[in-house]
Amino acid sequence: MNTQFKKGVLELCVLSLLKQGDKYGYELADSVGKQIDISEGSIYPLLKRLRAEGFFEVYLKESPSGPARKYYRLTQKGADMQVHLENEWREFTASVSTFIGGDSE
Amino acid sequence: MNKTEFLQELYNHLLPLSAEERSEIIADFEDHFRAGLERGKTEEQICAELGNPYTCALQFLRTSDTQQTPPPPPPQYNAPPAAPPVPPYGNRTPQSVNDRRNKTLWGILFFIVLFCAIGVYPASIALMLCPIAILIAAIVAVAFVPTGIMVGLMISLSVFLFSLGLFGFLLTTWLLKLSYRRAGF
Repeated sequence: MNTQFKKGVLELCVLSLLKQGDKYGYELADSVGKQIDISEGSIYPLLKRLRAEGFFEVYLKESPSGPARKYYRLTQKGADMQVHLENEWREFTASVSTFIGGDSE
Repeated sequence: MNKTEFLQELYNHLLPLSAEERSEIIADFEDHFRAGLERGKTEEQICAELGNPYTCALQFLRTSDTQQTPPPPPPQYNAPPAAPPVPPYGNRTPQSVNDRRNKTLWGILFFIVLFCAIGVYPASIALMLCPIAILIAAIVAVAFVPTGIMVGLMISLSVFLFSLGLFGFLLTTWLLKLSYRRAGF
């Protein structure tokens, strides 16, 4: 799959994952990496950027083992962005499907 | 590649960032390794999943706050300044490359004119002196064909040849002087 295409979709994936609940870095990277063939390392630059844009905030939470973990929580702005991207994605895939299905009438 | 190697390489490529940003990123990746190890993965496995540390660092550099400063504008083509008006002869000061180039061109012109002058000066002197010869010829000619037309023809011829010689002399002299001054020798 095209790398640029995947990177664009990655943003939607991360925001959607956080919509289900707060997560820490490894969980996000692992969840996305399991489904999409992409270097998990590229999740972290994305998290940093989305955080800088105010789509989510971070807080530290004690973990049962070792030091506190950095958790990501979606902000209202991030939630709005997720809805926006999800709609865009649905419209886009619906349009593409008409071509793939061959029933573009 | 193991954890130490990965973090070392990532760290090295993140050097353009501030120390604060860099240590935060490294801490995130240390957390990532810790969480992966807790789930029973090996360091090598985690590294393989993370991918190339260099590619990863590049993505950080692109999205970093410290990289927000706009890059310097691309070099723009600077139109050469309009040629300054030619100042009066004599008190000109060398100002620009343009000026120097003009001087070189004038210098070349000077030598061309000088070369031509070698031929032009004797010719114009000869032309200006030839009315004397014509005068002698005219005396003989008028003596043999004493008509007004012959007198007019001789006078016209001598005036024309003299003017031609004078014109050639003055033109060459003017060009020589002009190019000599412009060249600023």
